[in-house]
Amino acid sequence: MSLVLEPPPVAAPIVPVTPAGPPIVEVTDLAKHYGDLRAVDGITFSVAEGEVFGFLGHNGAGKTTTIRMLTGRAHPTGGSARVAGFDVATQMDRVKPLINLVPEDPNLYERLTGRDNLRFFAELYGVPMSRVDELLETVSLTEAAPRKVKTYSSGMKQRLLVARALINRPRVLFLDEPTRGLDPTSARELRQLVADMARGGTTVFLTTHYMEEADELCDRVAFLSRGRIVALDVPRELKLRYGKRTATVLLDTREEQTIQLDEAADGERLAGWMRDGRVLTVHSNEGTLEDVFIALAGRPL
Amino acid sequence: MHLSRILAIFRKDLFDAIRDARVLMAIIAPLGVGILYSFMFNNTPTTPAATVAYAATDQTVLIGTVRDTVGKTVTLTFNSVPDAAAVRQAVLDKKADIGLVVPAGFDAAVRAGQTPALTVMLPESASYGGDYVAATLEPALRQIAGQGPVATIQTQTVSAASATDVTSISILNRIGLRSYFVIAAVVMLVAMVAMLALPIILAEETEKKTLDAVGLIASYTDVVIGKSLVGITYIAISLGLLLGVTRLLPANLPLFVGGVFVFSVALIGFGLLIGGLFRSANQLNTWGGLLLIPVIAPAFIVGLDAPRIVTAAIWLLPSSQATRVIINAVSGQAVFPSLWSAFLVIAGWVVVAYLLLLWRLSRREA
Repeated sequence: MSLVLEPPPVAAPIVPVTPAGPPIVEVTDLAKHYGDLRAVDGITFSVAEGEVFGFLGHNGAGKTTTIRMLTGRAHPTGGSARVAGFDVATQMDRVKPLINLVPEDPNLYERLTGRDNLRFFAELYGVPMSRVDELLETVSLTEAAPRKVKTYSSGMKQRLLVARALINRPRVLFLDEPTRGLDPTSARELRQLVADMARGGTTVFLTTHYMEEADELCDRVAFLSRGRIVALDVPRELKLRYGKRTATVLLDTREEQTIQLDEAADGERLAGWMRDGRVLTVHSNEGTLEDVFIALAGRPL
Repeated sequence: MHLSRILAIFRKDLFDAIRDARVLMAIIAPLGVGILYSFMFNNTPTTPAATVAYAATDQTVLIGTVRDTVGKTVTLTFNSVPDAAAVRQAVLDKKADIGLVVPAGFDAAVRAGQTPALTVMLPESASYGGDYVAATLEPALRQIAGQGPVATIQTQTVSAASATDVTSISILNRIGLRSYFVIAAVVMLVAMVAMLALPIILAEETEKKTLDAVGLIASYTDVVIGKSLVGITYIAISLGLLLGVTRLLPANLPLFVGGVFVFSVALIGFGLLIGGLFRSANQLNTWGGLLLIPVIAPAFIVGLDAPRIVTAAIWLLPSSQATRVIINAVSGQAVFPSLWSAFLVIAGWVVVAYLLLLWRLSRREA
């Protein structure tokens, strides 16, 4: 085992990482002000086609407002945003057929059946009805399709929302807190669906409170605080830059010792235990995105 | 604007909305009220009636002369009985409102100026019909005697209203009480669908955020047009049922359809505007009734002799003008002259409603 001791991190400048592929979402100095309130305050980023992009932050940080602007439900008060090359402020009619959204709240027609919900949106998007059954199969709701949505569990509703959002085969899929309020099993199923979509080439723009979810799914994440992006990078780099750098050592006495990887003295202690054959296990406590967020925003999510 | 999206919204709402009990009640209630009015009221004007029991030894022209003199003011029934005792008994038994005993040779005696005695029997509590017949005996007898009227009486009704004003009596006489109340129910039906059922549908979509999902692909203009079509369809179906059950066939069908359509369009505009103002469908269901009062009340006031200030105030409201148009359409008569002003007032409300709605939508899209 070799230990590389690095200097402690310093507050690094925010340098947007250029996405791997051609950008499908390009946002430049985008702003939304409500009077004196700066809900979104001049953010710049781009999302590559096929990328899973995480947008993380506290409630009120500006995540949902950004999604509202990118999906044409709010007009920017400054800057610009383009989706698939079309300006969201002036060419929303061209953008709408290319995008879709899984919202925070399960906004389904509760008196309609699951199938009728999808049929309605299939009609709105002008897609063949065969797509409805295909999607019901994808989200494992074929059996429940003839039932009214009000009889569905939260997980079933969320899966139906995903099916609805895929009805038009969107090039960019926005997911606003998709697993909020779901039990762990349903949340896992949903994350699997998102991962499958991404593998299928759909660009995913995900906002979430759950850092482990972002870590699991996202190619890159942006941290938003008070309407501004405070960090944007691939999760691993952010964790390395902002996370804790410790390891837990289990000694032959069943005693656990935590060592600081950045402390030379701790390195010497570990080397000593190893020389003496006292080390049973070593677990590196690499930082989490939660740690990154606390480091950036000064408080946990 | 996208036709297939408008039709998708229309189809979905048409069948989904009536599964909501609040919406269903808003449609059914005025329909029920209209049918109830139709059974409660009658179009035939109620004229007083009187039964006359008479005993005459000879043929007499008196009965026919009295009938002619009374005319249509009182509906008369004459019962011939054998003698004076039978006349008295009929009056006592309340089988007659008035009794006449005509002596032998009465007609000839009258014509000869011999002033024969005519016995008139009235009950202790005389009826309007009986009294009226008693009062007409004198002119009837003069006529038999060959005496013309001593003067020609010209009666004029004096009121502050101008000659072209339409009074409630003339309205009710021309269309009948039943038709009038069914017309008021038509106005109520349009108002409740447009300003209660439709706003509930929209408020629920806003409350449940389903409108956001629709707005991801459809424009708000598509939504407004789709829901307006739903309102028009609900009104058309309900009106068809109401007119069918009450058998009230408008004499001027194009005018009826035109009037109801323009009125519906105006109220639907306001309904959708209201639907966007309330936070929840339940809140709207609770308070929306208050907003209906100034819309529905004028329909019932148009046919009454209300104070001039009230009449002037409701003149400005679309429902009072729509009532005028519908009354003319149902009666097939120009009960209210100058319908152009009625259409002008309703059209003004259409413009106001949709300008406000567009303003509201532009704010929502911003």
